[in-house]
Amino acid sequence: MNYINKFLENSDIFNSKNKKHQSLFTDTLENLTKYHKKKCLEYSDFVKKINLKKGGLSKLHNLPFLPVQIFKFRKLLSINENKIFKTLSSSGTTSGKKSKIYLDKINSENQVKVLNKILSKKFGKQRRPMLFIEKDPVKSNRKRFSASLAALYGFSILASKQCYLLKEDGEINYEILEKFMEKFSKEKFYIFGFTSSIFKDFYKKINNNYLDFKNATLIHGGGWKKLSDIGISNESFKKKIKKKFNINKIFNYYGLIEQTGSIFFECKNGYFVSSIFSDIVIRDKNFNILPNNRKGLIQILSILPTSYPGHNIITEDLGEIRNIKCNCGLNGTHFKIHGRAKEAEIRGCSDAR
Amino acid sequence: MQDKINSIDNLKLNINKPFNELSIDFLDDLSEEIKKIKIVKMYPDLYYLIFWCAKRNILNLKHKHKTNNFRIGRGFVFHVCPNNVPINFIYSFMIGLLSGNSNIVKLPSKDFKEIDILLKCIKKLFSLKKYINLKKSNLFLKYDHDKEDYISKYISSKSDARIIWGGDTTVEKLKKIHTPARCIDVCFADRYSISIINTKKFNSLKQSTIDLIARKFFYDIYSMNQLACNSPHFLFWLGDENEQKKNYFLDKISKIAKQKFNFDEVHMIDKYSNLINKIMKYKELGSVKMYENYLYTVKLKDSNINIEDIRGVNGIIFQINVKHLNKMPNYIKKKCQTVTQFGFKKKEFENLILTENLLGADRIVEIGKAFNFNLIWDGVDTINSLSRIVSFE
Repeated sequence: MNYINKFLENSDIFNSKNKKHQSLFTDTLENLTKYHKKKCLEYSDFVKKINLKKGGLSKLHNLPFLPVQIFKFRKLLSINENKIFKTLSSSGTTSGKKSKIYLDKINSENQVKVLNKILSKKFGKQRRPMLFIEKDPVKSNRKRFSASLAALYGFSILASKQCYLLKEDGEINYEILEKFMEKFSKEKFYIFGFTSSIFKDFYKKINNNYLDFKNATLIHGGGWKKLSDIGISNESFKKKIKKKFNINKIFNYYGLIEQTGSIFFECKNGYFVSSIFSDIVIRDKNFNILPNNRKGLIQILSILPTSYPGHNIITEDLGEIRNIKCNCGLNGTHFKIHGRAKEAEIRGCSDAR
Repeated sequence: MQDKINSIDNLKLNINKPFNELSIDFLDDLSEEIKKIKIVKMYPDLYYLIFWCAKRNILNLKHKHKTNNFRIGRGFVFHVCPNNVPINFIYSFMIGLLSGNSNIVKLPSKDFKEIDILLKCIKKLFSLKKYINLKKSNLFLKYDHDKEDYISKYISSKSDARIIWGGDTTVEKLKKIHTPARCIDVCFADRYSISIINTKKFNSLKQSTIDLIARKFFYDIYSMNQLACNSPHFLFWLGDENEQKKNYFLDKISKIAKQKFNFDEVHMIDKYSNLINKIMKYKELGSVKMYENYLYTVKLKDSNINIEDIRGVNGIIFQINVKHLNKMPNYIKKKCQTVTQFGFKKKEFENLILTENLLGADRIVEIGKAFNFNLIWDGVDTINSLSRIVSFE
């Protein structure tokens, strides 16, 4: 499976809307479908038993897609058990069950390579000091390799120096913060955190009268469900941060633990944009493809998953593809996210609470 | 919490004969109150309740329970109702009331509009002078999960009978709580339900009749999102199938579902996930037919399968063809509650249950009646269980 190098060799990673790339992407996804069908018995059962042709004339759109929840229920492997190198697990949602993703060494390395490629293209190759709105993972002795930890490690590639804002009890370590700002804030630096931590621990708690954040680039993602629960949109989040800290460069990213590595970043105009490594499709509640500018379920295709069949997944998230001439200069699929489809009341005679 | 304990302590015992006039009047008035609510048509289960607790229906049930014995309620009945079925609590309460008891009803922890509506109606009736004794002897309680153990224990220690609606885990947990020696438990644990169609009768039906059965079948499957114990998941075609008619029937169900069921993206994703999980997990399940996302049907390839734990959601039907009724014991296990049927005689099921020593199938009902509530539930005569006989010799 060394097709990934072909993608990595391409330096123009935000130029995915050209015929040449589209056909390479389609062929790759088609091959991945065949590959997993051969390697994973349960996946092969799924493909054989379901004949889901909901893509019209598009070959890519007719490929079978798994529901994101399936990784909570089934252990899906396209490798031998003894080749498992790392297991990623989601932080767990309302249902209490966690997704588990099994990586072999190659898949894990490819995730890192692709993430690095996206990050360096987006933010430049120069490493800068990074303030994590997190507890120090070394100190907090986290054994499981959770989604949050994976992201933390992934993004630390941008960091020339790492500092962790939170103490073990979750309170702000002002000593570290002040030292960090004194030393690094005169030049460009990064702040990284999960959307909800940025809001809860950074925005709400920090008194900024004496700190100057104007050179910061803030990168955040994941966990926005908690924010939408308290009624804060991506836009108002940005406005609030800008107003309080004078941070102008704020970038949200979107990705699935099931497709770690191939994440989507916001462009300067606030649209998520695909790279050559992944793409999205919007479907209605009957899984029919929706035209641009219509809201529906987000399906994500990624070239990365090889050790497990996670290359083509329909999510519970709602979004829409925007057909616009964006002056950001990136030629990928532009889209907006509208949060998670609202959870319906669960009824029944079971023990659920 | 103390206020909850106080309200339990302040309850006055009030027992009566089953189907006493006051309880019948109360339910009839409740029916009238529900009828007055403008939005009631939005809630099919509330709407059905108008009919169920009306005097006419209750008198009919009373007639069926006619007895020469002197019966009277057992005392305080503790109702432990499931957390995610909005309207189960009212049926549980009605059983307790009709059998002549005082009742403490544990309400679902989740908020449901239906519950608000019903409690408002009940409160209104309780404020009438006529029902002052019912007000003093009946209590509806909602308590937090973390207080649950304590309060449930407290109520159990004062109960003469308990009705426990499970989940198996809930039933097990409640059974472990100490109760007075004479306290009896009526437990409704986890069950599954199935449906069976006699093709000999079905194949000769006119289209309009098939349409009607499809409509009834739709209600059995889609009410409560197919999550209730009495929602069927398997459909058995007994005898020679007529593909054309069968397909027409299923297609019709999907069309009714499209029209009547308020599907959103979450329903569909849950349903799709459920389906994919099942077809991956069970090799015995074969190809899937998707009627858009409104209805999925799944063929069963191999009859050697334990269907007990295979449940769909929001409209998934697992289908099997069987040659004879005597193949059914493989599917009617102890956990089987309701069998909805078309085209069979009562005698056929009686024979089947007798000759095959079946421990399952407590309700054999026509298709469309899966959700009809009866005082005999899960094989238990609730009125007789919750009342005692005083014998005179």
